[in-house]
Amino acid sequence: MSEIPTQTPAQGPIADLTYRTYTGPLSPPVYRWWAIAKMTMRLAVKKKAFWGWGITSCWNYILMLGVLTLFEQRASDGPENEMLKRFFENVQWNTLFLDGYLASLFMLFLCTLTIASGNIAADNKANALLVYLSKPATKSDYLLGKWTGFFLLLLGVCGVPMLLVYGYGLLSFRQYGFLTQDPWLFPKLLVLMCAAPALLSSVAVGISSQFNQPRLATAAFAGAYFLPMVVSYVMFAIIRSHDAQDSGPLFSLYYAHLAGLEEGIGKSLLNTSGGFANLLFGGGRVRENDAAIGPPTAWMVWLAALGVIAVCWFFAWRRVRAVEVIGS
Amino acid sequence: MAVAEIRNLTVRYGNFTALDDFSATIPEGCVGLLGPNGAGKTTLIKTLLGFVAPADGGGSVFGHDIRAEGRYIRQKIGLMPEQDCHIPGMSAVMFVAFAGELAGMPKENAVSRAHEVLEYCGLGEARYRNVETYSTGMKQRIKLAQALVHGPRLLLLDEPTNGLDPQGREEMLELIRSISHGKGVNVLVSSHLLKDIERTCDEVVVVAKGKLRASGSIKDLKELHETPLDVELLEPSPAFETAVAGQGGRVVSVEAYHYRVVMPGGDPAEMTGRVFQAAVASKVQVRAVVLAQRSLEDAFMEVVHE
Repeated sequence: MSEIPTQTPAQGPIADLTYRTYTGPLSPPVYRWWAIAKMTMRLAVKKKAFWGWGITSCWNYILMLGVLTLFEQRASDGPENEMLKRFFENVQWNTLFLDGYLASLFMLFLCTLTIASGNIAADNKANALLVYLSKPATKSDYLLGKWTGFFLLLLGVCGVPMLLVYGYGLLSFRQYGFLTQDPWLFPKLLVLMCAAPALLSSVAVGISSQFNQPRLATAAFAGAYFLPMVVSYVMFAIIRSHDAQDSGPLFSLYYAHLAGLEEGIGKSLLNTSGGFANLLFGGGRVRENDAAIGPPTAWMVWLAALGVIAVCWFFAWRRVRAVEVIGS
Repeated sequence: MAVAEIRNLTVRYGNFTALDDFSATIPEGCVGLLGPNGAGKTTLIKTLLGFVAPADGGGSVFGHDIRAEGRYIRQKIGLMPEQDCHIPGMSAVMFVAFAGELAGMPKENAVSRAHEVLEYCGLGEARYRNVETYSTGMKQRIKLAQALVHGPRLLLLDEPTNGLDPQGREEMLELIRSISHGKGVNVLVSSHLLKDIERTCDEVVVVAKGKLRASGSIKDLKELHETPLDVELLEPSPAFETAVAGQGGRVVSVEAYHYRVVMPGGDPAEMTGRVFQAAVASKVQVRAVVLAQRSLEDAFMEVVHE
């Protein structure tokens, strides 16, 4: 009688666990910043707070569009409606975008606080630079990669609602001068949606790289955002109490802080002080908005913003290195 | 073929000279970079990687200039740093795969290779855990895994057994020995732990006060110039010392019944014969005669204090 062979269990793991050298392809050691940017975004989008603040930042656009849609429907029902007629005669479409943009700035700041302000500090704390820079990536790759990661996400927060509203306006309000009123509106919006994210990303990179503790870096970023704001508003209020004229270089103090620069860029680019909501909820009457401060001198606000970006990059460049080198 | 050539390299941190006119050749295989704390070992590694700019001199790694071609060098090198390092918010497999991507691997290759390397480094079970939750031993292993992922031709290990318990240390040394022998990976192990170097390396480069003190195989370094013999007698015997002198030799050291003697003539058989003649003359029993070797520690202390 033949013996039935029994199957013996494999001794040891099924996989070959011995070390084998990698023989696959390796891309040339350049442009590693894009890999860093992708990973920065991949980690940032896992944060629920980012999505929360990002979606909340659209509130003004959603509200305005909701009311506009209602108006348009009513206008098509009864074109003789005086209020609607007045509204569509007086409407300035760039104010819609400025209002939406200004309303999203604080949420954009919160998004930056969530994803960017402590990011490089956390890398410093974990000695991550040793990993990044021991691979064929340079300091420029690292900084550019981090900046691009932050910038693209913030650009999404700032730009996606703007583009959607523009698309909606293009489809629905062409007969009310949406396209003809300012033919350069679209390129202006493209610049505008990049300006605030570029400024915030640069400041986040500059501040975060100076710290080894993410919380301290976040606190410093928040401080850099709010303290100059308080100082500039107080000084502006004092100056305004002595000189009621809403002009002159001293009035530029109103914009002498991060949020002010963002606001100033928006106003100077779209050449308006906003007030779409006033028109919308004011029965279509153009009213003076006493609280609104006029657009600043364009070159001044752009120069200040570029200066802030340059200073932040300079400090980040000086601080970021793979290893601490004392006395060099 | 040499892995790295270093020529008259001087590195300064402010007024402090960390490497002073340092020249050395790092051969293929597993090489130990030995030196006391502050000798300049880590500075040498940083300079090879391009982290620190030399004040003078230069060198090359796999033919690439260390001053100008840092990116190309780093693509062929894997670094396991001394300090804990990781990228916050990542699981082990994500971390190692990302390290591969940074080195230039396509994403799919990097991910599958990360799984392989983590298995090899003994982190297969913990690969989906966040690296921040790892123990010290696991962090050492993940550092090795991220250094290995892209299949480097040279692995730089800076104090690889730092902070490991005895079992972890054994496992790490075994891993290093296994990678560096027959796997086509050259390894440069920087350590002040001589036993670790002795366990893993075939050659050493000894650095002290920023200067090269010795280099060559561990065997050569341990060899003594005069070729003494270690003689074990049954019992201590002053008469044996006299008899050795009678044979034209001298006793270098005595520890109980262990004698280290130097005999004239370079041939070990002849020298051993003289030892037996001295033993017969002094009427003592010889239990063992071997060619003396000093420990790596003795050799190290000698070259460092030269």
